[in-house]
Amino acid sequence: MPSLRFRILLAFIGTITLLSTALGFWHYRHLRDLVTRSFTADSQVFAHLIARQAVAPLFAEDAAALERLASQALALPSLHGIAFWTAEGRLLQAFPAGDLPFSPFASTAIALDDLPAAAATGRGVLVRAPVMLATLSPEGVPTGPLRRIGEVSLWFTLDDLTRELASIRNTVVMAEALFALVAGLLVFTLERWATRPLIALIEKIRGIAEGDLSIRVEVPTRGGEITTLCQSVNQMADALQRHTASLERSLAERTAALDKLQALMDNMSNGVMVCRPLPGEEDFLIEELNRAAAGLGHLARDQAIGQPVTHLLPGLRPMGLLEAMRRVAREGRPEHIAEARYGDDRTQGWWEIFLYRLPSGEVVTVVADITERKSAEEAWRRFNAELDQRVRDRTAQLEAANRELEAFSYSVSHDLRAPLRGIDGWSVALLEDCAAGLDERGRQYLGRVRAEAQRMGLLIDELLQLSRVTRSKLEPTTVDLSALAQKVADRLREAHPDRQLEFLIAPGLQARGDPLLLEIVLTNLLDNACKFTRPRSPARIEFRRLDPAIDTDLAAGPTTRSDSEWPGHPGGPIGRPDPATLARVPVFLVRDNGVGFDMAYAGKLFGAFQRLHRSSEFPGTGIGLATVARIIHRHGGRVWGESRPDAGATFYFTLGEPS
Amino acid sequence: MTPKMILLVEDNASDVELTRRALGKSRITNELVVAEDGQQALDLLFGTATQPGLAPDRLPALILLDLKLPRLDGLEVLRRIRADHRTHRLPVVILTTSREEQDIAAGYDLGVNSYIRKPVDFHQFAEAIQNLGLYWLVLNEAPPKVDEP
Repeated sequence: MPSLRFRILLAFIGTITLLSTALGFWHYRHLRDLVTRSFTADSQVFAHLIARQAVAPLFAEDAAALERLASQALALPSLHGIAFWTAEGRLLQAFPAGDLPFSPFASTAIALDDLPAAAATGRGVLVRAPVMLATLSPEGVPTGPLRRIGEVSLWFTLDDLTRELASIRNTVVMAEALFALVAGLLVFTLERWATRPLIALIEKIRGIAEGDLSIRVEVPTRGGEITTLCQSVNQMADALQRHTASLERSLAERTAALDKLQALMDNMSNGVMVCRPLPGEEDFLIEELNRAAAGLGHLARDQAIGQPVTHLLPGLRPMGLLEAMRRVAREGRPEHIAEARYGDDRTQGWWEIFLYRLPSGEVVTVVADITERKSAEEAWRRFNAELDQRVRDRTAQLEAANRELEAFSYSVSHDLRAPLRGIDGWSVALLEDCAAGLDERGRQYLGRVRAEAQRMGLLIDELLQLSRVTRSKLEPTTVDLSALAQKVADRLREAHPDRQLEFLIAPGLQARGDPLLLEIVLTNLLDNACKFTRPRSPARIEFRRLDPAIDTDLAAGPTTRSDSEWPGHPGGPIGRPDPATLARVPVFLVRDNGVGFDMAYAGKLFGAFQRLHRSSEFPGTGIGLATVARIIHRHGGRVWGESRPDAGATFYFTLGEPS
Repeated sequence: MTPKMILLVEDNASDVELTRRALGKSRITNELVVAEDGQQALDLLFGTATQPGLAPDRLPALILLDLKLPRLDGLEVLRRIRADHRTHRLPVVILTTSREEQDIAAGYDLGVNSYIRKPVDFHQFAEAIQNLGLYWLVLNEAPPKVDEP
């Protein structure tokens, strides 16, 4: 493709050449016509002139005159020959004599147009003119018609004409060539002048095109279209620069975001793998793989990318993940596999897997390594199973022990009491039937036998109650303790009609617990109070809630505590609870004005068969308070006692946390 | 007409004699037949392969049943008595040392008429037997005879 300059030049020079050629040709034609017409006219005029001068010699047939005329005529350089003819066509004379270069009877004229061709052939031209004789009046005025008396033929050579034409042609060619040269130079110079700003512009644009967007074009002040073009180019460059800058900025932002994402991917603990499904979802190619995923699969990241997933992770198929990936690739529904075991010959572990499909069709697999959790769970499960087994074993042992205990209690209840009844019964029989054989002392002894037997019966009963208290099922409900205490008090008054008993029972005391067991508690405590106030009259027995405003001694007073009775139960029921519990939980108390006890022995209070008083003074089995402690324990409460000898005793109890 | 017998199911010889003594003291003259275990009691009532059971009019007026017995225990005997149409109306009193709640409940569930716990004190025991005899043999209207089907 020729350059713009070349084409402009070519166009201009071509036009100039064409124009000057056409002009030259036309000019030449014009000049030639002019020359030939002038030659033709001149030659005819000359021929007629000769014919007028030849009238007289021809009429007289004067050879000498004709010769003179001929020689005068032949002075004309282009005239080569001359001949005179009579009217009848007889040649009178021809010059130069004898050697006519032409036939005197050849054509009479040539067409002017043929002249150049004739000249080119080097032939001559024959011009004929008639010789006319006029009858003249004496005054010399012609009268009558002209009479043709002969004819003159002139032979002109065309050499001069040809030479002249050639000279004209050369001049024209020279002139046109000069014109073309000058015009060409002018065009070339003007073209340079016209295209210089454009070329400069093109150079700059090329610079811009090559990427240097800082290049700006100089804008000529009065450049017309060029100014507009330069301004446009500069605007375009500005726009390009702005656009490029914005592109670069957004590219930088995107790159930063990508870097951030990559960092995120690489530092997350979950493995992430992006896979592109192969046609038919037969296999997947790994496209992206974060560090954690590479670690999970023991893969080198650079080598893994682009590889088929089944090739690198052969364990995917047996664990069902490949099938899941296919499903996700086909259906696009995300899936979650809570736990699955991966294993191949290099690595193995428990994975939690999330799968989803990207809009572009790739399947993303997010894997959390739950191996540790699984093994912890496994250990925990094993531990629990062992624990369960141990609990089952213990429960079974406990149940067996309970069954034995029940069988034992049952047996005690039946078999231990039966002989006692026998002892008592047969003692009575002896007293009744053999009274004659017994003296007073013997009857006394038999009375002792009976008393002991009955005491043992009582002991057995209380022991059975103690064991029942432990074994029976707790059925808690809201219990009106005031009413219960009143019932026990009434029973005691009935049992001891001879005594003056004053019961001060606070009304409306309620607690949550098993009513039967709580009745046993109140019975035992009030029974004891009644028993140990025997020397007092009136005996005063209180049952109420502890009031910190009144019972200020509690905070400072000593506490009975005996954990030895409850081995393995540091939180056993005996002893005052900590102040926080005391402030939260209601405390009930039974206070009497009886003989009291020595706090030195307070530790023994709640032990079975433990007594602080002689049987002869205050009979008892020593089981009552042990039973109370067990019931309180089963209710999650505490019990404790405070006293000084002869200053009455107070027993406190709580019933666990209020609901 | 001779008064109907009392069937005492009791394995403890001492208790048997004490019961007999208490009945005697209460002037209860009904014959006291003793079965020493549950199986013997059932054999006596319903007969065995070699010996026929009691005729309907020879059935006891009252059965005093201990619970803890060799071979067949008292509750099982009670269940069999209540299951048989010949005896299912008979007054049965459990007379036992046990005061276990589960025994009392099971006794009443099986349709016992009364549950008496034997006290250790003989005087109390005698009083209980006397009250028992008076109530079931005198005050209480006996169930009508059951005809043989």
